Amino acid sequence: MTTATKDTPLSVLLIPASVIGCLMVLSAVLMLGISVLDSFPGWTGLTLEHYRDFFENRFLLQAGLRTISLATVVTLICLLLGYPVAWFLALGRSKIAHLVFLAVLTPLIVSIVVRMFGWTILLGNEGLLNKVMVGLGIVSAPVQMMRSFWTVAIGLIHIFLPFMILSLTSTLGRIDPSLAEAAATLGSRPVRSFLQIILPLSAQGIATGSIIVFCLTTGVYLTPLWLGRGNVTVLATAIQQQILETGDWPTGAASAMLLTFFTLLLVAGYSVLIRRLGRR
Amino acid sequence: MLGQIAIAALSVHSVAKSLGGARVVKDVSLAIKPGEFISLLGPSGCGKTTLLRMIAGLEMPDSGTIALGDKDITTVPVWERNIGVVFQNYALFPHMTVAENIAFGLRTRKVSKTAIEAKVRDALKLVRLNDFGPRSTDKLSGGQKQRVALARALVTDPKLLLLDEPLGALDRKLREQMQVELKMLQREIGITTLMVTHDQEEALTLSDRIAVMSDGKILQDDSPKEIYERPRDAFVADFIGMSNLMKGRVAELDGKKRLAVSEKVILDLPSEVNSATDVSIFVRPEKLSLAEVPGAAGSSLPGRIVHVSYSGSVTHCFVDVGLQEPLTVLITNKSNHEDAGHRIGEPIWVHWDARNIVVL
Amino acid sequence: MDSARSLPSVWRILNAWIVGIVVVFLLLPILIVIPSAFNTDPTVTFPIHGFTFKWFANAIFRAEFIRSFFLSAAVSVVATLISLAAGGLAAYAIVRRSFRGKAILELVLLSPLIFPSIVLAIALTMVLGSLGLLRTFPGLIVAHTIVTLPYAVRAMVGTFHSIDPDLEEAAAVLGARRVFVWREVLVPLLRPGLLAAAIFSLIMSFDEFAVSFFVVGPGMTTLPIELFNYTEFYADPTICAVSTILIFLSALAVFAIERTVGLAKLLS
Ligand SMILES: Nc1ncnc2c1ncn2[C@@H]1O[C@H](COP(=O)(O)OP(=O)(O)O)[C@@H](O)[C@H]1O
Ligand SMILES: [Mg+2]
Repeated sequence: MTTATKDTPLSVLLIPASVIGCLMVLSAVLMLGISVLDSFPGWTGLTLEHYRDFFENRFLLQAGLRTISLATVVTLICLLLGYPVAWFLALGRSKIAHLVFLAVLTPLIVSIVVRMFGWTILLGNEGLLNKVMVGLGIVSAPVQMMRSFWTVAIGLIHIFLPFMILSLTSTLGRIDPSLAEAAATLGSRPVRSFLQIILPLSAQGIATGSIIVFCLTTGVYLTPLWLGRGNVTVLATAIQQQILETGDWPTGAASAMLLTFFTLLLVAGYSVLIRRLGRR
Repeated sequence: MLGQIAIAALSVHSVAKSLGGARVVKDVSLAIKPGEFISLLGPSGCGKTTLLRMIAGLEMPDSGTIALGDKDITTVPVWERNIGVVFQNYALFPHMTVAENIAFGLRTRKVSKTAIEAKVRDALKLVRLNDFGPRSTDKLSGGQKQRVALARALVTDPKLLLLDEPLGALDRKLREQMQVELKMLQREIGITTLMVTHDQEEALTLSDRIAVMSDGKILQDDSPKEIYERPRDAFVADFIGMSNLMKGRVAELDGKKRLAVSEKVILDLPSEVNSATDVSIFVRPEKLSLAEVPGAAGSSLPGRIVHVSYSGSVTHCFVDVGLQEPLTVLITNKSNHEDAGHRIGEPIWVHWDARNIVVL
Repeated sequence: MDSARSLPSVWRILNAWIVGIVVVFLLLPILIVIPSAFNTDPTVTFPIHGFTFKWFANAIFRAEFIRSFFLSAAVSVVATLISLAAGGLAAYAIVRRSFRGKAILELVLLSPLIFPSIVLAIALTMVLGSLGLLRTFPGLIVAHTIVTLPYAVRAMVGTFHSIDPDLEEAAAVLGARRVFVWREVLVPLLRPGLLAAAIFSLIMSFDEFAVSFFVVGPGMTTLPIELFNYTEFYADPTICAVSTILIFLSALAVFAIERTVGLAKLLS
């Protein structure tokens, strides 16, 4: 290219972001470093012991497994709920579709703390749902719903569903509507057209949305803390406890690195998948 | 056999459709004989695609009926109609190979694997893409995509083929080549075809019959020759080919029918016209000629050349004869060494034969 | 709707139901907070008994809330401005230039999306601690910029991709100088992308919890953490009142965006 702006020195363009980027890299390197230290603070040699400790520590291992199952559940439900909504948004150009779109965006703009609080009001022992269920005679006494795995899942779905819907809507919106019509003229019923045309063509959006939701869920901290109130330990809260309460920095750091590796592996697998889909 | 009365392959009866509050197709009727190639010709936005989509079953008419052969298909869903459709943008499935695209319609019909293979091979041969089966569709050229779309639409042996601006996305040279191919293919398999186009040349070349559409209505439905030589109204005359349109009052003069376009311009008319009425007449540019001397009174007019447009085989001369618009005269460039010698500003006479004047 | 694109009626009805349920699901926990803020009961219950403004008074006259609100606002604005400037320049380099280490830069700048925030939080605590920035305003800014920068870069990379490089060349051919090209050609074209990045970044920063949780300290607490701390000790509707105020501010923002650029256009 031969633009005048090519003259803008590369250093001017890159230095500001690089400073912040270096901080990130430093953070990662620091964690990696601590995780292979025999003890921290102090220097007593290097070891990979702490990675084994993670798998032998029931508390950490359970937190890790809980985190993965939480992320899986949240991702699947976001996908199942999000796809029909995205479908509706991608095809509809009506006033209603616009309002639904606004409704999907609204939670993004409202503070997560506010939303968590809303769920407390809805799901608490004195909450709306319990009042309704007792009132209708479905249950005789309020059910304890807060501080459970599923409450945390609901809170997370509420946070991540808009991301999923936006990702899917943009993919579905790019699919040429005449493809489904062409399939129909070739004798394909709508359900078949959906399975053979629309679904494969939206695979990329499904993958992107799922990976974003899954990764963000594995790192969540506030929601389990707030809706779980100490009852639902996920890896993030477990690591925090391991480090700041137990003072076991290396094992905490090793757990953090394991979480990071796992996420990276997932993202790598995803990009391979995308490339394979793209090659077709 | 039913004797003389052949059942139309497709009959559209009084079909109307509103989209987004606007009446897009207004009371259209159309019949196509088996094996016929009909073009739906009109400016863009006149409702051609909407009519085609209703025939295909992609859009439901508000009123009227559509029949395929003797079967009313107005309410039959698209996927049960077996009408081949080639979409304007081809609508090839991007995640499937060429062969998979063509096989799609066969697979929905539960055709056996070996039969599918054979039919796909035949279809590829038909559109001269023999070895293209395993290719991905996104690397094909426009013309190749077009042929795959055609093969995909034809492979299920449909009773009717619908083409929506099939050659619109191709460049001129390729378009002309594909026109010939399309016509030969259509004649070879003898399929009844309805093509939508806004390109009058394409319609004239390909069709057995042309239905000219404007503003949701069919204005004239005739053979290409009739449409060109005997257009029924000013819109058809103006839309197809170039034309010189004039308005005036008919009067009798010396026992001959004359048209007074202005005080000075008085023309001979064909004798069958009623006198004392306001009429529009038109004459094609190639039916006019230029000369340096006047002809018989009433069949020539003096003027001045205002513009000359050379386009290879022919030249268009625009002559101001004192009317609102200059007359367009087409001259064939028969000689490559003699210059016809028409210059801008030059005084000239326009000649015509009254029999070539069409009264609308 | 045409028959090919829409599914048969059973599916369409199912689809409509799911859309309805999702809308209620997304909005209910937000809307439920509002009536609770006016409840006379000292506990958060629903339906409410009586009507009062005392929780709003309590919220507004609580010095911690006021202080943390303005701290949060200041931090998110500063972090956003830094992210936009640094991210915009970097995104331009990523899209228009080729240089060594480009892939690495891209990976690093976008990695926090995959880097669990807790890991970042703990590491940052150490880094900032050793720099003496823990529990300081600059420390908070650094933490928040790290969180928001990737979103800014991502949004701007997308925008630069959508801008025709020929426009720059055209401007250059017309004799525009470098600074002029940025100011008169790139920034106006970037405005929708900038706005989207800014809004996203502001929201992310204002809402940031995990990283701040470790970086904040007495007198240097952001609003989400202040609210969280409050609910550890009290269960009265003061939080509802604060939330209602935040919802009102969000609604104002949404309204302003919808009137100026249109939310849908912003995110498409
Ligand atoms: N889904 C729709 N909603 C509203 N108006 C439409 C829709 N589809 C087409 N139209 C309008 O109907 C008219 C005819 O469209 P179309 O049949 O596509 O015309 P053509 O194919 O002749 O160019 C156009 O003015 C177009 O704007
Ligand atoms: Mg059309």
